[in-house]
Amino acid sequence: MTLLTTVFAAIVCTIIWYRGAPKNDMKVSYLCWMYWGASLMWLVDAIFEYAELGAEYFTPAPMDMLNDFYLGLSVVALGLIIWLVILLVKDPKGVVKATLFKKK
Amino acid sequence: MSENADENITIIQVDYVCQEGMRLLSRETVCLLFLHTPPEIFRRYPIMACFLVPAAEAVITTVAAKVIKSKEKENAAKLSVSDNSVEETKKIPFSTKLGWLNKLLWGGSALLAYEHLWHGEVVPFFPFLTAVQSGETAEMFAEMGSAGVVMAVLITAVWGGMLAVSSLIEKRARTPEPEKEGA
Repeated sequence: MTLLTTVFAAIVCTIIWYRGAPKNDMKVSYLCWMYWGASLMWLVDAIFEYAELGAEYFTPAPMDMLNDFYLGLSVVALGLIIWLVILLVKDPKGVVKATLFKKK
Repeated sequence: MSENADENITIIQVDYVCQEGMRLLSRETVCLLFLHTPPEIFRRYPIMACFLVPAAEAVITTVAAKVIKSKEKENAAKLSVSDNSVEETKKIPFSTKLGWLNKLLWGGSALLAYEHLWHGEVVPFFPFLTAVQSGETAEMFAEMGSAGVVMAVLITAVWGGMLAVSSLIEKRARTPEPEKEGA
C-alpha cells in the first residue's frame, strides 16, 4: 500500500511536471525524483516480501493495509515538506527575496 | 402479545450474551496465541537498514558529480579562450546526468529512512539502528547486502536506461534533418 501510494504520487507529480515543462519554476522535478526513487526502492522491498510470502502478499490484513496507507500518506507529506523547503531556499521566482527586502 | 414481546426480548438477550461470549472467547484465544507465539514471527523483517546502501552510493555520486562539474567548467573555459567563440553543443553535461541519479538516490533514501523510523528500526539516538542495539549486526549486514544492494543496482539500472534514451535524443538533435523535396 505504501508502494502504491508513492507510485500514484510519482505519477501525479510527473504529469504536473510535464504540463509545465520545460519551465521548472516550481521545482516539481524534485518531487518526481524523490517519489520515483522511493517507489523503486519499495518495489525491491515488495519483491523480497513476495519471494517470502508468495500469493499471501496480495491479500494483506485490513489493519496492515490501513497502517501502510497511513505510512504512505505520511511519506507523501514528508516529500512535500522537503520540496517546499527546497523551493523556498532556491527561490526560483525570487519571491522570498522580494518579500524580505521589500522597501516599506 | 405481551408473551411474544417477552420472548423476543429473551431471544435478543440470549443472542447478545452469546455474541459477547464469543467475542470475549475470541479475545482470550487471541491473547493466548500472542502469549505463546515466539517474537520472531511478529518480526518478519526484524532489522532493516537497506536504505543505507543507496544512501552510501548517493554520497559517492554527489562527490563525483561535484568533481566532474568543476572539470567541465574548466574545459568550457579553455574552449572559449582558445577558440574565442562559444560553440553551441546540443549535449547535456555528464554532471547534470549524474545529478539525476543523485536526486533519485537521495530522495528515495530519505523517504525510506522515514519508513524505517516509522517501524522503529531507526532511532534518533546512538547507535541509531535497533539492530546494532540488539546485537543483530550480522543479520543487518546480510539484509543490506541483499535488499539494499538490489535497490542501489535497480536505481542505477533505471538511470542507465535514462542515459541511453537521452543520448539517443541528443544524437537525433545533432543530426541535421534532411530537407524536404519540393520545399
